Amino acid sequence: MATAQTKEEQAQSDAADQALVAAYQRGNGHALTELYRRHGRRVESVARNLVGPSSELEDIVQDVFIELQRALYRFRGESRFTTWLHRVTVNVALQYLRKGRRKGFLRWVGLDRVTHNISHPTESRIEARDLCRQLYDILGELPEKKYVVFALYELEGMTLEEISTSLGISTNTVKSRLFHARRHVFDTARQRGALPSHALQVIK
Amino acid sequence: MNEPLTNTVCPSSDRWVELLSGREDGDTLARHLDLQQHLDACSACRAATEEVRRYQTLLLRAKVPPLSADQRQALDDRVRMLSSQWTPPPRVSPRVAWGVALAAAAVLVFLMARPFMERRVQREHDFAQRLSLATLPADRAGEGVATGVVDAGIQVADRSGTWRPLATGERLRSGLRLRSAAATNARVVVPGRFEIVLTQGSELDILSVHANQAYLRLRQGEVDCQVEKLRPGQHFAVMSAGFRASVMGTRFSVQHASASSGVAVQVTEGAVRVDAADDPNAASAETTTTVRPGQRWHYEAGRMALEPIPASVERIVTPAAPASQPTAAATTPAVSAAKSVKPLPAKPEAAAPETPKHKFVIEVPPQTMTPEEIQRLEGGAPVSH
Repeated sequence: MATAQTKEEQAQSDAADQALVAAYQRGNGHALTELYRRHGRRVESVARNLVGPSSELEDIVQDVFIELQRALYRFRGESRFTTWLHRVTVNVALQYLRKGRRKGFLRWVGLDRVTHNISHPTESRIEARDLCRQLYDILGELPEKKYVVFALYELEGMTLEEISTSLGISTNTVKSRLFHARRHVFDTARQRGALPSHALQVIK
Repeated sequence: MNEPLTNTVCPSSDRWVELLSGREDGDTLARHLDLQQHLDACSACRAATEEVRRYQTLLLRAKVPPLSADQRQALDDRVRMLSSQWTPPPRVSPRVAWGVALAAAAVLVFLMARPFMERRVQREHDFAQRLSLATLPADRAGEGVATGVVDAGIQVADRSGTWRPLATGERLRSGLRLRSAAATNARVVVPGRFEIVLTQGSELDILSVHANQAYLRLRQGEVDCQVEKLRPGQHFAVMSAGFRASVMGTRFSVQHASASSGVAVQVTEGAVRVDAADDPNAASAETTTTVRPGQRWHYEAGRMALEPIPASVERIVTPAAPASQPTAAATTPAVSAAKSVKPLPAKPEAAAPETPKHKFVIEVPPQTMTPEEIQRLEGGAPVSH
């Protein structure tokens, strides 16, 4: 019953998205604001988990909607709007990621914000900051395709099917990339001692 | 990933990740019970789960937190500003449209010009073939004409390029090259057809010779021609430096004066038509000229002129000698004597009488035209022999 309701809600949400897109295509600019209100958080979350700590997160989200503004009139509704939005977000985030890799140290400017918003003791903040840096260091060693799948699955929490649809690849390919990425992260984190020793107690 | 857990088969670490994260499909509660049951029995898996939980803790704690309220407000404002700047984008970028249009036009022009280009290339190729001794048309059975009288000074070369004396009675055929030995004016007589006299150092290609036509090409030097009366359908022409002097009557002389520049044709009797022989660039009505008695057609440095024969030039045209006599006496260096020939049948354009009436001189200095100039004149590749 819950699943049926979810599907019904999803269908209503998709219909609302389609109506907003159609309104935008007719020239109603405020439809973009409404789309942002509905999906902005999700876009920000996907971008944040893909890019990691970055001072450019707001720029990335804004660029996603600039890209949307440019391409919305071509959207024909052949796929779900959210799927298409995920794909645009991933592409924009990857562009930033490539640029950030070229920039090198600038990538870690956003680390300050990682601890800034956490209401933990200072020790925990420092630890969280180090962990974040270590994790994205390890992820940075992954090939881009595996990196994306790992970030969307493990960090963003998307399902295999959602990733498969968003990236336009098969579920098996997603599984394969995820397996290799996870193996690399797991092994590397263990080698570097990135796995927190007291984490087990925290989780338990 | 959904096989039931047993006490004997341990899950992989990847499956532990799925199990511990609760994201595996199926009945989570039942799997949780299975999981606990297996962990109670398997010490290796208990150790593995510790690692997996650490890994999951790493991911959990390393996640970047969402934007703060201030940052989010700023972002909201930026996107709201975007929304107010809506402009319908053009369907097709003008740059793309222009590119497509230009590409289509280029393809269209190419397709339209292609037949002409191919035809031009073919003509130039044919012309170049005719100009090259190595590619002169091969003699076919029945082609060629037999010589009657051949002076000792005449030498002949075939495609191999080996010079040898031309024997009396030997057949002239396409692809042969004639020359006169040094310091000798030599004569070749084809009974009933024509007689040619080559002055010293002259070379002549036989482009085509058979019963109805004789096309010669003067490569260098000087050639005096005496042609018997042509029947309808018969042709006799001498080409040189891209121009052709065709017999419209029955008497003419071709001279290659080494001292002058360009090409000159002068007619003392009858009429001679001068045109650009097989030159794909020059072949047009403008380059066809009928030279009347007393006129001199002259081509030099890309310009053609028709003028009265200057006294200084007219002086060099001597009265014709008998056809059967040697022509050595009739020609001097840079001077050619016209030969008397039998008359042509009357032609409307030429109105040739029964008596010999056509005399003209073509002068082509060999050293004054470089291969590049010849190439430009003929519109083909440089000719090298």
